[in-house]
Amino acid sequence: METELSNTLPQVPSSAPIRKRRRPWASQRWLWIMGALGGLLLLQEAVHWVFLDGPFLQGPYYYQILILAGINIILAVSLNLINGITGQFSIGHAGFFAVGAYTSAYVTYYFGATLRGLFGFLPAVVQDSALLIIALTVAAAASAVAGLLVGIPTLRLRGDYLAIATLGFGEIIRVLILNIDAVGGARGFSGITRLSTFFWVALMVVVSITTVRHLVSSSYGRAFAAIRENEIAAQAMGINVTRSKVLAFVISSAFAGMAGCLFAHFTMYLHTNSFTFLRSFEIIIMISLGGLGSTAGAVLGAVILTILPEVFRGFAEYRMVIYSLALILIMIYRPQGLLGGTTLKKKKPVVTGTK
Amino acid sequence: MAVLELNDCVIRFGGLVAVKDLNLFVKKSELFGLIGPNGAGKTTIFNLITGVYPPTSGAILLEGNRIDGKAPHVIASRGIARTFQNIRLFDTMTVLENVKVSSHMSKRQNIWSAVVRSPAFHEEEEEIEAFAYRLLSLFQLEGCAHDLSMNLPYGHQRRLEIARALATRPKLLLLDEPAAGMNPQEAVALMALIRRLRDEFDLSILLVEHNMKVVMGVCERIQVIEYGQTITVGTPEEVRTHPGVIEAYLGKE
Repeated sequence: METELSNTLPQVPSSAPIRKRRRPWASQRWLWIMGALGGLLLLQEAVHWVFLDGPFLQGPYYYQILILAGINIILAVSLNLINGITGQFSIGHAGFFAVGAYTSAYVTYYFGATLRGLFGFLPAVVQDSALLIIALTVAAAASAVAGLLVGIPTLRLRGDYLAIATLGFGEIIRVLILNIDAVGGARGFSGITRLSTFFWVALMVVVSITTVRHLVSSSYGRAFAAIRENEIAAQAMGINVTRSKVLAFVISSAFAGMAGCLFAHFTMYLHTNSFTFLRSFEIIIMISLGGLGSTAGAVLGAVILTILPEVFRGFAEYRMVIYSLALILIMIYRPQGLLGGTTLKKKKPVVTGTK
Repeated sequence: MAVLELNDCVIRFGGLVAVKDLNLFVKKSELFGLIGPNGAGKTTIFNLITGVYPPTSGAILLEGNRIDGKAPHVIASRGIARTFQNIRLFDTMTVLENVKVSSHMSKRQNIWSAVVRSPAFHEEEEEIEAFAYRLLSLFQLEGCAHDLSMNLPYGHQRRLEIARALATRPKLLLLDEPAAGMNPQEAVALMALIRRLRDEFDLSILLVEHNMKVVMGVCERIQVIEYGQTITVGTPEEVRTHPGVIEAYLGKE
């Protein structure tokens, strides 16, 4: 497609080095993707062998931590897209996590047998995966719709007001679920099949990180960051601020929903107590600890905050004290977060102005 | 032919009439100045044109099409770009990224293409980067392309704001006090730059400025505003000798 880019700008002799980047791997990307999938499957076998089939007594416990860390990574990376990159302080992430968990569990619980009948000719493992793909799609779609419905009215608000509104919506979603009898209501939703495996959790972790990273370094990511930096200037540069915010919100919600689906089909039991605003705060702490806006930081924060409470489990009642102290120390000595301010830039910026 | 035309525009904030029956037109390729004492409503007029405030009544036309009441990003996409009196850069983004932001509205690739990194996406990104580098080199900023914009010296930040505005490929550029905080040498360089931009980019430029040397030196026509109303419009010479203008600035004997 011919572009008018060059026509509007006079030919300016440029000393800037504009090199064509080489992407030799671009033509073989399918090969790479298949290879990565194969690698993940092998990794799954290794993980199963070590944690589940091995002589390791506490294996299943560590396996559970591993899976939960993966789910937390997806939640943190996706929330980071709104809170860290677009700069909109949302505290309703647990609500979208819940929507994904419950809708997907509803689908596999009530229609699981019918759906399985459709792929009856496939081996059992593949049937599970096919069912999980459907559940993931449903969860992503439902949470995206919820994100859209919540986002359109609330994202016009700023700062504290947005935080309060999203907090409220998160709680509304939870209370709604509590009153739906088909998903167990206050009894909790039990009898969900276990479909989430290490492979699927790891794959979704990779997909969510890749999606967010690719978005951040594209024109969309620059628009999101511009909104965070200065909304008025972003508007004046032609960015549809509300639309961009809603877009970030919807993508983020969709990934939270997928995390919910993986969670539901791992724990096999859901109760609304897992989706209170404390859960939202936990995710916010993960991204603040890792460094707002940094994807690597979100991953690190999620891993640390999944492992840390487990490590301190032995200290019983002092656990929360140590946990809080650790957070306070980090806020004092590293307020930008562990990996704050490193993702957006490819080259390390020179701190002083150049002449 | 008028690029920009304001017909009987009024802005009321509650009981305060900030802009009253304003008529203004900027011709194609014109350097047009807007001056007036502090609080005269100059920045309000900028916000009116760029859609930050809709007019209480009146019409704004860009190349004959109504733009009043449109959202700021729509007006930007129609071809009006601006800088700000108090610099509003994207602080923690690099200089290069600041300029690249302005290409968002003219991008052709959709979000899916950005996520899966299609070849067309890479092609467009390279185009955007080349375009941004060319603009930066025009403003002698290519050397600090990878610095954070908040770490630039003041004069560089002012130039970057203009570069970023030009990256939206406007027909009309609004400069809000571009010479604020500049020393006399920098102001002279700025005047040359403004003229050069007009010629090379085929732009019309509307500027608000307190530095009379810059306004009188660079503008072809000047409109003087006081209390939201027009005192006079004319060439720098006419404006300088107009009794109403002298009165507004120096007071009556």
